[in-house]
Amino acid sequence: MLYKIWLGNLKGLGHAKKRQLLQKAGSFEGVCRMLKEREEPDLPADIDLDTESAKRIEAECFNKGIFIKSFQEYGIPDNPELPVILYCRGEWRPFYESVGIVGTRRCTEYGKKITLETSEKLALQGITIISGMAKGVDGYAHTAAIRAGGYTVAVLGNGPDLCFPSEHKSLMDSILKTGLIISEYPPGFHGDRSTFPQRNRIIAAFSDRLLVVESGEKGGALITAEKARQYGKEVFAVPGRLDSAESEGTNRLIATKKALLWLPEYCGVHNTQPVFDFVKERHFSEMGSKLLFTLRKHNCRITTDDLAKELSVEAKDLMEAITELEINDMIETEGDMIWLL
Amino acid sequence: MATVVKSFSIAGIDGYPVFIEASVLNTASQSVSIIGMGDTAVKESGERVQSALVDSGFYMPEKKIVLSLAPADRKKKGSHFDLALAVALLTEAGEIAPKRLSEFGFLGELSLGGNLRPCAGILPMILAAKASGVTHVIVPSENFAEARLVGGVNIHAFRTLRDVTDFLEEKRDASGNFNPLEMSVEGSNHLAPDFSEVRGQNSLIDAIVLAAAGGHNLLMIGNPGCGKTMIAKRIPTILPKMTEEEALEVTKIHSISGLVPPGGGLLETRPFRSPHHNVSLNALIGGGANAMPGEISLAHNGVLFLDELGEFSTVALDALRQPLEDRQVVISRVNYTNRYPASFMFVAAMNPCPCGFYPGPKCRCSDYEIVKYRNKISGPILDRIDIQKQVMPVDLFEPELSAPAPSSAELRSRVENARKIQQKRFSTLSGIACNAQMTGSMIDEFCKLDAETTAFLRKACEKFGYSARVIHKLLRMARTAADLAAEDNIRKEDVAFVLHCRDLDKSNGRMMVV
Repeated sequence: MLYKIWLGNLKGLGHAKKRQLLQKAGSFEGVCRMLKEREEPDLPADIDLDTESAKRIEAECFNKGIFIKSFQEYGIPDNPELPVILYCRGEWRPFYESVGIVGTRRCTEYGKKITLETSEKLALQGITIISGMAKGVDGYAHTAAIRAGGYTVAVLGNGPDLCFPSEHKSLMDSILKTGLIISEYPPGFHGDRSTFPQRNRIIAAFSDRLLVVESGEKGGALITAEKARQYGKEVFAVPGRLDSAESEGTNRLIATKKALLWLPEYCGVHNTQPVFDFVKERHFSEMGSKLLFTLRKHNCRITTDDLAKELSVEAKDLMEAITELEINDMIETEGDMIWLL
Repeated sequence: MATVVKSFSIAGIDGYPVFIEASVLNTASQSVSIIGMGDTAVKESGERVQSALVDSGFYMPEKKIVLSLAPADRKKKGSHFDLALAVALLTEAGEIAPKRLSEFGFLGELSLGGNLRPCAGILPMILAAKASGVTHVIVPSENFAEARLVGGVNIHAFRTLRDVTDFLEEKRDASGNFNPLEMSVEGSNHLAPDFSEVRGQNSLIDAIVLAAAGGHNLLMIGNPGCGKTMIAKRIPTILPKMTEEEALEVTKIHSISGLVPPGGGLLETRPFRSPHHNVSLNALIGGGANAMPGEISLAHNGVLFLDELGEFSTVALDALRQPLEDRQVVISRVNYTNRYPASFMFVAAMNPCPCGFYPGPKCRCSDYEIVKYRNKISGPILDRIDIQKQVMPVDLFEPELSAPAPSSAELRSRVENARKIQQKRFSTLSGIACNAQMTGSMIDEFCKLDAETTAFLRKACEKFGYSARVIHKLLRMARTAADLAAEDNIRKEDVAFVLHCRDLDKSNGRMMVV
């Protein structure tokens, strides 16, 4: 872990170069050894081979419950723009399907409404909601996902131990309980003008699909959309009024065919003909969705009786939904115990 | 033997007698020393007295003069000892020969030219004079109106030191010196604010009448410029008229703080105090090295209005908790303890969000920002506020608004009627004056609901998630609403009305935060 932190924080080398070296050396420690022995002549001479500061960060990570995932571990091994390590806090879960929801910090009542509805519906179906924990759209996307009992990932432009904006302290605490916080920056790092746009590429890379709710003519959300397009992700934008400054960016994305127009039925819940394959897979009955929601609220493990009590129904009425989820490989049961897969 | 002259000083809101002794010692050099734990104003008094004496045509003895303020172990402050010091000195030096000096008390500052100047705290000091058996008090003419509020003491007002000494030597009588009527300030009532000027805020005015009638504290939440301050200023005009006892108490507190205008007498309108949000703890609650009443005591029997409640320091707001309960504040110092009355109606105003425009389309605050902004107000203070009312901006061009709104006098008579009902209800219960002060058991006794209304209230409280504490508040307010309608029992419409008085709770419940 020490060498992961060391390489992650090494200045003077780009993300792509670090990956190349890793491939050559085979391990993080190997890269350090290799550089010490000067096997790479064309690297800058002043590379810092000292692991002292990495040791400090390692101790801080340990104290603050921060764990580290290398690019092989976090599931996107082949994107050279992504950092070699990510600092993570919270609960690491594999996310099968994910939708990034981003937008302006100063959203309108309309943007708020669409974000809350969309995020909730997607989260209820087990789709991971990814965003940047900024004010406005980002904050509402996380909030609705958590309230729906879903899994949500926040990508920060500062260290994973700091809360910015400070209003989101309670939001951050909730994400840590049921979701995940990731950052490419070490603990204690405050972030600056460049690091917040930088983290947008991570949101784009982690999202299978990206939805831009509201964005002005210039906005961080447009950077995320651009990156997502580059990485070959499907990008959607919520259309807005032509005279609304907060929808200028999103309308333009649609007009220039850089994004698809988002329709409410794409969430799948109230629609008979879901558009996405993943939505079709995870389109369950109302009771099924409720059951998943409750299950997540109870740390993914609950007995049938408790579940029935919580949903105020007879246990026998749950059977159909349980079977439905079981045959869709969403849950597993052992006697009375149900748990989420 | 040294000459003794009576004057008075103030501790808390009450006066006490101070005996001023003068003695002239036979020494070669001239000096004046004042002893008896006086503050700087008392120390400098020596210079004023010397100059006033000389300018009034008296001879200043070229000897050592010692002036003592007894009791010597209590701190004294203020410039109002000047006159007594001058009279004591003149008498001791043999410059004047007053008759019946022991029957007199003296209050007043001296100018260098020998004129009398008004001073603060006249009313409580005259009351102390009466209590200590003094039958005649000499005051500056500007303080006459205030001083004569106390019956049973002969007040003599003068403009100059020479007038006072002539009177004491019975070379002239008190009358003819000046005409008290000429000094009295007539209340200019036609400029007083009135509720009839408030347009288009009918539901808010109903809530304010409810607040005034039941003694409920009030929080107004609204956009900048929607009229919160304008309305708050008019609340004292609908509270019941002050009794003479109440007015005297208010005048006393204002007198100590030097807020009675020269020539002013009894304060007849209820006070309205609106300290700025940077107010210090001592200025709000009372205190200081020489303890003085704070804003909460100046608002006694009136309205304390805190605009921009969220901007007040938490320390200052939290300090309001105890006075809001006890209706008085106790300021303790090592040497003494002062008790100031602080029975006020608490009215506060705040913006709904950091930008001030929630829930309008202009507002771009996120729910997390709004929650943070609202959380700045201490929970215990919000707990003591019964009525939370959203104030909506009015469209001034709306033609319906030109219809005359109810005047303060009309609203006041509604409030007074409701108060009468409450007085009757609580006549056997000491310490309870209005519905807002009802305890749990009194709520059970006086706020009975029929089955239909109970079901209605229960449903509403479940919908909005109200706690038992809020339900008690609603019941107290519903009792007041029924009293305003002179109904014996709380009706469903009373409950429906008070459910609209918890706007902040409702709005907070809508916030999308985790």
